[in-house]
Amino acid sequence: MPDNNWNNILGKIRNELSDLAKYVDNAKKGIENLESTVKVSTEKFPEATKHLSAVTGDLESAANNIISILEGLLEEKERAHKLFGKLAAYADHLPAASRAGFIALASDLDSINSKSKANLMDIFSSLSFHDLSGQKLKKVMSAIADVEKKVAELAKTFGFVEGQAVNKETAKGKDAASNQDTVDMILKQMRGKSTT
Amino acid sequence: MLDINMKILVVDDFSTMRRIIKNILRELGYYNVEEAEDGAVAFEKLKGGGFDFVVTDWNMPNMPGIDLLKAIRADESLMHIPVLMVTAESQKENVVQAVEAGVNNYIVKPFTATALKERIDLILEKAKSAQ
Repeated sequence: MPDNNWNNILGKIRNELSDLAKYVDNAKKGIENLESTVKVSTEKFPEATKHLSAVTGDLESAANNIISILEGLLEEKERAHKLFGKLAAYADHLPAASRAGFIALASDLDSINSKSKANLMDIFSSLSFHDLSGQKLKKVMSAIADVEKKVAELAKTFGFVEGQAVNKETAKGKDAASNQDTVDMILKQMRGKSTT
Repeated sequence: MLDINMKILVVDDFSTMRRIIKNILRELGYYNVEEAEDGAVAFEKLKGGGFDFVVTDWNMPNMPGIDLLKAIRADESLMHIPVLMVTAESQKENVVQAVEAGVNNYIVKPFTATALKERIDLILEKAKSAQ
């Protein structure tokens, strides 16, 4: 009987060891998979950041081109405004009957010119989309850098690759005030303290 | 004395934003405008003297706008200069921080030429009435 007990115990130990071996084998495979994932990640993250950075640069370049065109148009508008002024001055040389009509015509043309100049200014301010999208892309790049840093730490812990130094600030989740009105309300509330 | 000839420093890390603000200011009649790409460069320029007004972004490398504002308010020769913050940071905590640091007004991007004019006028009016 003691022999049977001993055999039972050995059988149980064998089964336990077999299970443990399977577990270790699975863990090993998992770590191998993790290693390839980490290696791919360490290659892909910098690539993604590089692309995002390029997008920011391209946007800036495009916005600068548009601004240059707008600046040229504004100069032309200013020139047109001066010419309309000179045109109105010719009214003095016209017969009295047609003078008022001529002045009104020059004035209308100048009004159209001013209106389209105002539209150009709106396009100018709309171009700040570049700054806004650029700042958002920077936050995305910062988030990627954070993940990259964690992956690098993981890689270092498991001895896959040397840890890569990644800094960049963490993107903060904050409650955004919806618009200028909200900001103005806050300013109004705080006025009397330190704003002018 | 603050007037249409006042010298304005526009501080933003994006060249496009500096050009946009500069053009809008020019359209509003302010032609004496200089630029700086971050707070540190701006502070150096301000220390050189001659500036009457600062329009600054918040998020910039080297020295962010809020630190520039604090540096201006901490400097005896610069503390009188009005500072208008033009930024994408519209969170309440940012506005409160800027007000506590002594900002004169605050504009959220994107903004219109009219909005910029209104705030500059407001700052100048208050500065004049305080004199």
